[in-house]
Amino acid sequence: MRLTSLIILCFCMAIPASSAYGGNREMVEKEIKELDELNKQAVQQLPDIPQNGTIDLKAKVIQQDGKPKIDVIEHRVSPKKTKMAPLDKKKHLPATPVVDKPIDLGKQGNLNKVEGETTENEPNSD
Amino acid sequence: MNRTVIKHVILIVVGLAITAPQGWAGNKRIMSIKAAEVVAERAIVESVHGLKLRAKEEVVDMIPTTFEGSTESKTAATIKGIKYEEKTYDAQKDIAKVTASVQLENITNIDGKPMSLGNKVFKRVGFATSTPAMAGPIRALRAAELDAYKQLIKRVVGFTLESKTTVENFMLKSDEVKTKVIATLYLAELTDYGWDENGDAYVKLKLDVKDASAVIGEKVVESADTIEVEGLGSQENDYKSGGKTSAQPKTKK
Repeated sequence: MRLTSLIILCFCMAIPASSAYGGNREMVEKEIKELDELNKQAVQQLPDIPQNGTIDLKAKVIQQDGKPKIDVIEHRVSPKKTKMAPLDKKKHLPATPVVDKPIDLGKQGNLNKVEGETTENEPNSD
Repeated sequence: MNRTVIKHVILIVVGLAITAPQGWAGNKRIMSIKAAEVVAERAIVESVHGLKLRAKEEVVDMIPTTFEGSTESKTAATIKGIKYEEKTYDAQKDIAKVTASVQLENITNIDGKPMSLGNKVFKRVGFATSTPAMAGPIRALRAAELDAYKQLIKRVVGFTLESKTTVENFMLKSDEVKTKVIATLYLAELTDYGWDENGDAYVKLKLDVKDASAVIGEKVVESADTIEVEGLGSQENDYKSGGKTSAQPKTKK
């Protein structure tokens, strides 16, 4: 009887304790999401968004008709420069010409074999 | 005979031990009530005379542990005629609640401008405790109050957004986002407050835009007649280990 009472008492103390003090996790996550959306909205107003790069932005945000109105005060777009290998006209590799002819799929063998030659293992058609 | 006497003595001692903390509560009760009066007075001053508020939020790579949010408020004024309408004290929790009100015709606001209040009654509530273990819900309420002030200011005068964004194949990635607001606010009215089942506090504040605009003498950016906001505050900081994070607003009086 006493043990049952003790267990019930422990449960009663444990239930409110576990649910109390929810913390600020939810509030912070909501705030971050709002900040991210607002920033993306501000950036998308810019006319010169590069394919790759960074954008520094300063804007004044006011509420108008329940929606944020963003006035970009200043911004700096720095496109990312992709490094291209310099093309040396003198040293570039010669392109292999493509020969249009039917390929006999039954006659695949040694890649080093010169056309017209026969190898020892290859059965002689004669 | 002796046994009976000893039994009675033990009973009296136990009885005294149980009742003594309540009977001789010391100055806890008075301290908590006085503190609640001061908190209610501060709320009245913030509503009528106004407050200066500086708030900033910052997040890097959209990671919650890097989020830093702080709100500082400042106010100082001499106001005569504050009445305490209701004083309640919970002896078990050592929490005092004081409702204060003021009715004024004119006042000089925090910006030094004279304002006509037309004898409107401003009513605010203050909570306080002298037991640190019981301060959690009260701190959460103050955090919610400051959050509500910040939201009102953001709606009334706007705020500054600063960011650094990376674009990769036309896809935006927010690297660093900051918001800043520094402004003064007056005439905010308390409409509701409380705590939810998780112990998080909420404070609802209302601002009559037309009144505020007329009193301030400047056009308010918001087009609605009244602005109502809900501020939130929590008792615990889930990102304490991050060291840098402080989502609960800091207060300066």
